[in-house]
Amino acid sequence: MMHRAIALTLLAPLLLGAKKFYDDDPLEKQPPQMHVEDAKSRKLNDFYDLYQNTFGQPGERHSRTKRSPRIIPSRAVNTLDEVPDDPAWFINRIGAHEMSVEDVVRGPGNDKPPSLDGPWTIVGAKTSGVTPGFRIKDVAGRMYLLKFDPPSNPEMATASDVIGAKFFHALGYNTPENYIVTLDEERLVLGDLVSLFDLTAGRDRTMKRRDVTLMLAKVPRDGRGQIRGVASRFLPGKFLGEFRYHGTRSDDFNDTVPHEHRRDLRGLFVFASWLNHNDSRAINNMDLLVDEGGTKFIKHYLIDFGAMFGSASVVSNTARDGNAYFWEFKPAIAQLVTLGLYTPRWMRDKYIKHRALGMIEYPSFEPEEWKPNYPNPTFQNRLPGDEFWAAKKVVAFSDGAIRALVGEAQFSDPEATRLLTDYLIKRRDKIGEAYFAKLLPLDNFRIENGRITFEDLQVKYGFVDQREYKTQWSRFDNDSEKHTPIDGASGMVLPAETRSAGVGAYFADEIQGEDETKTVTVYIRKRAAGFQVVGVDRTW
Amino acid sequence: MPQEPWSRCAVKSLLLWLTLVCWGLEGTGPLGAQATSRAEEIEQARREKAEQAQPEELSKAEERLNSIVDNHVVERLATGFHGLTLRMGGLPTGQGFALGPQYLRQDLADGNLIFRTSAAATSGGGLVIDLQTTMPKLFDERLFIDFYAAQRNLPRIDYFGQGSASEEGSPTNFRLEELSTDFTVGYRPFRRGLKRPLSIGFTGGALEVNTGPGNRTGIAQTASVFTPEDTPGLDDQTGYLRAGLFAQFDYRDNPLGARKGGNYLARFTYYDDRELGLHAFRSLHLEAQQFIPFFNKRRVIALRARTMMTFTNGAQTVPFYLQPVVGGSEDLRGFRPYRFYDNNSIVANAEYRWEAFTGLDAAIFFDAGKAVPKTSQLNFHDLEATAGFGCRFNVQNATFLRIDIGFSHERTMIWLKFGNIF
Repeated sequence: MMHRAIALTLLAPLLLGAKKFYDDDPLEKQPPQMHVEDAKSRKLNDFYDLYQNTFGQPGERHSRTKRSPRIIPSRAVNTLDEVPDDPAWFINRIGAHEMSVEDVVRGPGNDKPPSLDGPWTIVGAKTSGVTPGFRIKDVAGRMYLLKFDPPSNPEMATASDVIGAKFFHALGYNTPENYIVTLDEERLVLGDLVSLFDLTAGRDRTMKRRDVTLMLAKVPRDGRGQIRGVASRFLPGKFLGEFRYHGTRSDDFNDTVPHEHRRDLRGLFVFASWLNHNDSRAINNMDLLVDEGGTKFIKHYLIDFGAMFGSASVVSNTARDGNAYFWEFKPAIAQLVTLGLYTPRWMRDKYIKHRALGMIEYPSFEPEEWKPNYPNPTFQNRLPGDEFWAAKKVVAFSDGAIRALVGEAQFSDPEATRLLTDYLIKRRDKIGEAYFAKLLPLDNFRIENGRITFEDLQVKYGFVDQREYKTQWSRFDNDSEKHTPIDGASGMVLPAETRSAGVGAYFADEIQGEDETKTVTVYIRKRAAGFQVVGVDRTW
Repeated sequence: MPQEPWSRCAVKSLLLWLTLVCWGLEGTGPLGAQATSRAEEIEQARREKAEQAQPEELSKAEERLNSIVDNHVVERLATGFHGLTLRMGGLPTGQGFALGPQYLRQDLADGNLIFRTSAAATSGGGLVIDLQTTMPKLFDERLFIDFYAAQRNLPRIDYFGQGSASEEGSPTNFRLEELSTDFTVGYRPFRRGLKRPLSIGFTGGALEVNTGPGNRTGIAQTASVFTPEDTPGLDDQTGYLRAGLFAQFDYRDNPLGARKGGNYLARFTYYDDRELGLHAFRSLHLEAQQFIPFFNKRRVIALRARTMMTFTNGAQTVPFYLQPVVGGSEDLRGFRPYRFYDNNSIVANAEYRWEAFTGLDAAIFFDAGKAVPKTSQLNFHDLEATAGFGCRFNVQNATFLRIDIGFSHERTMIWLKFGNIF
């Protein structure tokens, strides 16, 4: 056995290419996308996704058994433990670069609402569900999906859809442009040969003007009889269906990392919990084959944000939303056999109710206890490193940015604006407090004046007071990944040995706080122009 | 397996290592493709993926589900094709499962006119043919008008005798044939939120009744056991004109699966015996339902009290087939259907419902009630009682199926019913 181990040790660097760092590390952005000429469109089924994730365990999971534990690290990350820019999935924005409040509010775009210079022509209709929807074309030829609020909760779903898209865009995802619009019924004109499925007659037929009137009769109106809606601008590209939260698309050459291991999707848990996007399921994703700069590739979007905060799109949230899966064996059995005497915490909590918000809560919000409607493989695979990465972005939203984003909802009642802003600020703080405590939350490493500098995010955001750090410097062999401690070298100042080392030499500084199990190891590389922080490893 | 000497293994490994290095340097082996940068590593993975790329395919199960959704199969089952659909259920307990064609149009007059007609038969020989026309939301939903005509043949109605003293162990069976036409005009005077909770109105119609031998085997015929003296109307069926008034205040949060609010109903009907002049009577139906939620509506106490009273003048009697009845899945769940007949009835139900998970509520319940000859006996003494438990299966906040098991001093009953009890 030992012999084989020796043989493998000798071969490993070659077989695995086990260099920890390449010369181009840390990668700030993914290499240009590989051209994908065409891909087949297929539509995921909502119920299948629900059952597959509720009663199965799709995708590759960590093994947490004592006999053979196996933790699968996040992928699609660079050596600094960050997500490199990837136009297909994620572009670093807030928390990585300076974003003004104006940038945050602009979102994926805010200057192309449906034109008011002419009618909006209906070219398609959605008749199912509590609230209707139309596909419309404005006089400029731009296409939008026009959706409305449920009768019970004016402003709720439209507000959620508009500000949700902006939040997720600021966080780094691809999202559509959503606009709050106010219209008279006359603004909508019926296009030629628009077909609809007649629910009452049970057949497809050509839509008539009277259908528009009847559909709009279900929509709430303001005091002047006007209708509020959300116009979601059609995204360019060929529709290919939705992406799943596990596996990869078999026809997407650039999609090489199983989704359940992507950092940007594992971290989505934290964002979804903050914004109570419990409807974050595959059916609310979209893949498009886009052509950018002459290269065609598959771009992955998050869409449909109408069920966030206190909204369940067609009704207000219930206490269950964001707190419990539709089905979960143990709680269900516990409630059955105890005759309902067992009551989870969320059942007993007090919630804030407002017609324009639905039902929201924050006093008892516990970030790690949050749940989407049913299990999501990426969420279940998340590790403290993923949570930390995401929490950094959440706390990067200033109070002002949150307030400005909530303002985009255009609530008629200022109390709704105040309540939602407070809700998001308080939940943001809880997220920082919860996830920064799970590891040593050091970030923004730089080398300045011959020493390593960083920010301790728990200190920065006031969750703890200043603290002491213990460090240990070592030489680092990039080929064997072996650390050789440098005697007597501690603190943040670069040891003398670094100065005498040749270009291409690596050093590491392991930093500890009060908890020895939580460390951050910072790797630096000597270059002709000086030292460069090239990698960050965390333990928890 | 014998162990190889350490030195031999090391030499083998070294040779293999050198071979692979040389192979790699020539660029012909797998190591020739070794990435030299992070970007190259990623691009290499993409190239490998491109070589293995295949069109995205769904599983057969997912494709079938998509087909159901895309072809509006569920909607078509619910609304039918060109109005033609299936009628399922809807006959009184004990008749068997009713099934038959139904023609339903909800799209007439821009949805302001609903037309429905159906014919359904049961395995037990029951039959219903009916026709209904409704204008449910005239004048901003202030006014509603309904016309309903039905012919029903129900060959499996049980009869145990009058009142609480009747014997459970000796049921009899009769056939009830009805031909009825009724109209209702209602007014909803005000709106509260999205709803108009108060409805007031009047009804009018005609009813022809006939009774005969039932078809349940092994059970005596009602007419062979009971006499007209102890069972009014047994020997002579009649025809009625009926008219009445009603008022309902319904502020439940969701009528199909209420967790909060209440529903209060009063209905007065005068039955004028137009043929025999023997069985004219007045009936008063009072019902109160209240739903008390706690723990954010995940727990509900549901309460109902209901009384049916009849009044007659002089020697007029209420025929047994139109008497208030207690027992069965809708009131006293530990008793057989139609267990207690008499001129008046009172029933109280209390349910504690708790959510186990989305889609399933469990319940424990207590029912109490009785049928008595005089209104003065409508009190809480000598009530027949039931205790039990059950499950309610919900879809989109509506209870579509319930299973109840009721226990009483007479027997244990298991019920599988569409919809909630109240």
